[in-house]
Amino acid sequence: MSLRGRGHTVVPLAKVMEFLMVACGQTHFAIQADVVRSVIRPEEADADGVLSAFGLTTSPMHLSERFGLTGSYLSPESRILVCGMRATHFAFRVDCVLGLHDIDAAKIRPLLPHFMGAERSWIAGLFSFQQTVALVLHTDWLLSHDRGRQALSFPVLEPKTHGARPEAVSPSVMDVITARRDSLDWNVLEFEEVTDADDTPWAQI
Amino acid sequence: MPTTLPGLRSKKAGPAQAKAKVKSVMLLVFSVGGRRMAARASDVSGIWPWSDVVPVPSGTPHINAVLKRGEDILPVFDLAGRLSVQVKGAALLCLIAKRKDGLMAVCIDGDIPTLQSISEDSIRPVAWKDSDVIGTCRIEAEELPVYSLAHLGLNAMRSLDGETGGSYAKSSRS
Repeated sequence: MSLRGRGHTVVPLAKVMEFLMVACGQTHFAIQADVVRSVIRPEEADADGVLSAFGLTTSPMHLSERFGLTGSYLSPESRILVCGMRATHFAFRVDCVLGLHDIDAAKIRPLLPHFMGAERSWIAGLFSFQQTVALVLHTDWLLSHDRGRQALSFPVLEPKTHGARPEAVSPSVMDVITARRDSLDWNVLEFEEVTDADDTPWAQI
Repeated sequence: MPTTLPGLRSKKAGPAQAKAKVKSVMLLVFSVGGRRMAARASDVSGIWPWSDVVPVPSGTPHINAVLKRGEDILPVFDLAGRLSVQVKGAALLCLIAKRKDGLMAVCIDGDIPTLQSISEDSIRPVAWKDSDVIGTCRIEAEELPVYSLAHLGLNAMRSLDGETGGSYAKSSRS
């Protein structure tokens, strides 16, 4: 028995979240996997048929255009994502799909407080991904008709050549993705505040 | 009847004491796009070699990327963009500013910054609208703007009128 009178040890369970990782230019985005319904190659013959099966008849816009930016439609690894919940579906293009990624929700940080504009409604948080940083998109915003009217300073960069992919893309991602885990209510997730950065061991002047 | 005893505060400072009251402040002198400027060294957390940044779609003026350093993720303030200049040098540097809401990375020229100790009252305050400059000071026969890194970019956030660079950039361009 512990000092608190408990007869057993409670091991906190880590809340693991599953994201579909995509890239637009040099930026990686994480999309909650259980809202992704399909990943389609744009050049597939029946791409329009798959989209119409979801009730989507218009040409999918680029994810960058959701931020009010110009998207590149030239990436050879471009994919169309169909996302939705219940009967509502949205389709958009991305430059590259990197695959599924599990992460402990505790490792997702809130968007830094320095970002004070519309991006706060687009980006829920961020986490370290491979050698870079992934931005977690707000599912509510992604599945809404809201479009960024002005993104003032997001440089439009050509996607890197994908001769050697940074991470092997599982062919299974190309098929219809079903929710694999218990659905998490994204709206009630709260990330920890930024810790005091003065403790970081950077070189002092 | 209440009386006031003569205390330390009631004494007039003599010349030696007045001299001792002159505070010195350490400034870091650096350059962005060839423009020399200064900031309080106490507002600087460190200087690193510049590394790749991750663009972030952003509506916040001049904050459009993050930088990963180990396990830390820092926002990047585009001071060169605010001044409408391009950073210079083959090996750019990353100045870590202690902004009041957290650390922030700023890309500066590759010239190694220098430290200058000056008396605090030699910083002449300025009140330029929409500017991060809090004053100017003369260093090596050159009048340099002194930036407030603790408030860097916050004035631009307050006045979202599309003007870049603030009054300092304007006066420098003309």
